[in-house]
Amino acid sequence: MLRDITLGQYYQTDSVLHRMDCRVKLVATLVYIISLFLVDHIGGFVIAAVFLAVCIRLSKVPFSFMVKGMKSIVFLMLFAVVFNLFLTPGNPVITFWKLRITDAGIRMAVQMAVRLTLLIIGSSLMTLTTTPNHLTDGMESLLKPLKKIKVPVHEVAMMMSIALRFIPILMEETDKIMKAQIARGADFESGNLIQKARAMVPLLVPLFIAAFRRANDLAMAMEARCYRGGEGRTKMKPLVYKRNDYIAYGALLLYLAAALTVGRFLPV
Amino acid sequence: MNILQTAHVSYDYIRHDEEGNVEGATRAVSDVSLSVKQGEFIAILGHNGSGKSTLAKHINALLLPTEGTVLVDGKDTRQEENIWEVRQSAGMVFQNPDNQIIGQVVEEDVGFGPENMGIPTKEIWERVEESLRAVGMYAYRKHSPNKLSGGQKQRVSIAGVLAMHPKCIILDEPTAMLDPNGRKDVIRAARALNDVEKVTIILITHYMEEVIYADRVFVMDAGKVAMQGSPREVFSQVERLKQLRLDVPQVTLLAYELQKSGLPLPDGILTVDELTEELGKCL
Amino acid sequence: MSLKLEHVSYTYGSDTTLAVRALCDINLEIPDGQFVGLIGHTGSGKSTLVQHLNGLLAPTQGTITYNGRNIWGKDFSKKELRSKVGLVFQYPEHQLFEVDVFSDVCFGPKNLGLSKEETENRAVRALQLVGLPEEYYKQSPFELSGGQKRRVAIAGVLAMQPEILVLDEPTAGLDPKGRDEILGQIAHLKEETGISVVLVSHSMEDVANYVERIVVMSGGRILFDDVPREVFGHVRELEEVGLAAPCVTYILHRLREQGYLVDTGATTVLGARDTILEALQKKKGEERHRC
Repeated sequence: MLRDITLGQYYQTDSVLHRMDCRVKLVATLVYIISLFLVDHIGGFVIAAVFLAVCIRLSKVPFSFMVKGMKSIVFLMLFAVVFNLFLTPGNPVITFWKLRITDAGIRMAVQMAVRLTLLIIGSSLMTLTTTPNHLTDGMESLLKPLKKIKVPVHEVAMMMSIALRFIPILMEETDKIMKAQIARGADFESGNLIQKARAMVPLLVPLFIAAFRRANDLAMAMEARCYRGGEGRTKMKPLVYKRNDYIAYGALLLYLAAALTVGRFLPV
Repeated sequence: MNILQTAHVSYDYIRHDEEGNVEGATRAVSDVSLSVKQGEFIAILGHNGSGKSTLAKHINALLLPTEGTVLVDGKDTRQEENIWEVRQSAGMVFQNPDNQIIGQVVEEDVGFGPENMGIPTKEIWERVEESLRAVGMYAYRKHSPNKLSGGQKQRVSIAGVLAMHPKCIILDEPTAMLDPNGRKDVIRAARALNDVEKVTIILITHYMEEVIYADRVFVMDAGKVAMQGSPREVFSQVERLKQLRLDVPQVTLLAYELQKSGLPLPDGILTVDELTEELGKCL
Repeated sequence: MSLKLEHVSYTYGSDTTLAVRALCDINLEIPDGQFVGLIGHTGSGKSTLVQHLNGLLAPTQGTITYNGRNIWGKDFSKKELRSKVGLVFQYPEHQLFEVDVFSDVCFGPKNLGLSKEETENRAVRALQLVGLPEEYYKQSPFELSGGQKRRVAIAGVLAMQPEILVLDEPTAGLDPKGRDEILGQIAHLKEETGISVVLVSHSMEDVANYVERIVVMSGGRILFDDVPREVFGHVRELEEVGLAAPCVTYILHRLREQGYLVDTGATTVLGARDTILEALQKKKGEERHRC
């Protein structure tokens, strides 16, 4: 069950997207997310969806693999949708008891659902096609100007990439500890909220201990391999823009222009 | 020249109480003096808590001795300016395969060490390739470490150290969490490095079968070196090893039992071939 | 009293395109008071099988019955099953969480809803069975040595008073003495309580000294299910699936090839010693005759 979270897990294959410079992918993801919130015209959403579909196609990551990752965040999405559905003022369409669904509410809810879906698939597409090490490199490179004001850019980037690498390992660990405690008669499902919270203690204590042990071991292993921060480090895979990357930037600009201006050319 | 030289090394783990005051000290390594020549295959045996891992961490300057000195390739580990050279010349592979792989792709992980050392990009790629080939993991260079077996992960870890071009590799119980096949592969890789690349190997383990090919064996107990010698010399002393919570390989044990029953067998038989040959002489 | 698996198959991710078949048509019965060794290399399906024994995984096909009752039937409580079939995972000390040893061992019986008195009685008994002295009861489990922690974790499962105790690699990471101590303790508690023990391992040597029956798994199927001497007779087949017979088996086979009349079925060092001595006597006798 916990293993189904594919968000952030690298998917090993060889595709145009996998080979693309990670800076392009980071910028593109950021631009894409911003564009989703600027767009409010149906034509814009269609373009955004098509753009994403093309990217997914190019990435060679099976769509079913991504959808599996979505399951875990359905609850969050429902929450956002329901929130928008009931709490947006406008002309009431359906009213019962104290709840009112307005036309604007429906519009907002649908928009929110589409936005969130595209946002999550879009950002997971980046992590699916980029290894954490690349992600670190990309972020480090893009955030380099911040070093001037003493922001530890390399360290932060390294921390994030390691966190990502250990997500699947800690998931597996949680699963194992959970099963072990279930075998000792623990019950994580029934009971009220307080009972459930209390049932988590036998799970969380060993999990934290395990996480600390891993962190400790990993720090030692990194030190043993001469890691001493970003100073004086060379790169095995240095970032060099290639022809494809410039094309990708071009495509991104085209997409942005199309998505934001389509509303002007189409009637609602 | 000696790649490793320790003189009267002792190490205390300091215990703290809840306020962070020093409560006491536990001596984990006590007055250890040993020297290892370039190109040797050394095994360090010892039960859990005998101090063998603590000693190993001294060779890589992860720990610094409370007393005594550790010289790695002639450099004192306590000198701050030596520390990176020491870590480069004495690489270390740890027990848990999951907790020492940093990269998300095999080749990136192997490149991690050389990157830290500031090696030019082109050379990093050469080193990664040759290291992965040396441990027989080149075919997996594009794989995710999470999909590998324990033995394969450990061989990637060895390659990661090898890419730093060390003179000596310390393997700290590299097989403790592996199944028999993984164990065999890791030991085979270590022996090949010793034979072909002439890398000094210091293997820490409590599997007796893994040390019979070593040039010399040190047995640790209570932080001290309790026995040392060739595998044959060490394994001749079955009772002494048992006292130290250890064991001997099954062949050796069988020979020992036969000897006790009156057969004129020599001490310290290590392989099946030796045993059958010696039994032939008993007729 | 027995746990019985009939035509059990299990497929991971059966609802996806990445389905992996982990178990295939397993038929297995664990009767009362038997000491069983379950052997297989990593990925042979033994861990998946073990999780079926106490209902952590449900078979995709086939049935599992405990004392004739289907464990996945509506009237069978999972909690009851888990108290009858105790499962000790690999590196069990990693799941300890309580402030002291005694409370940790009490966790299982407390979950069964037993009275405080009964819970504590069971905890004491379990700790005695694993041979942990009383002075440790009030210590934090995290301050103990590796071997002691493992005993506490095993006691935690024993305190549920199972009729079948399943241990997944109980000796992983222990030194030789620690390994012998834990295995000896398990053999001892089996004698004392008369429960069935299933020992999961990939070490033939470990298992050969203790168990009366060996189940060998490979590729999700049961390859052999017999007494040790019969199983170890299949040296070649064992090697084909990445396992090895105990070292003594190889020595005896080699001697046999060289014309010594040793019994190749001996599985322990002492057994091998006896048969070698006997064979040498015989051979000496023959040669004297010839002279």
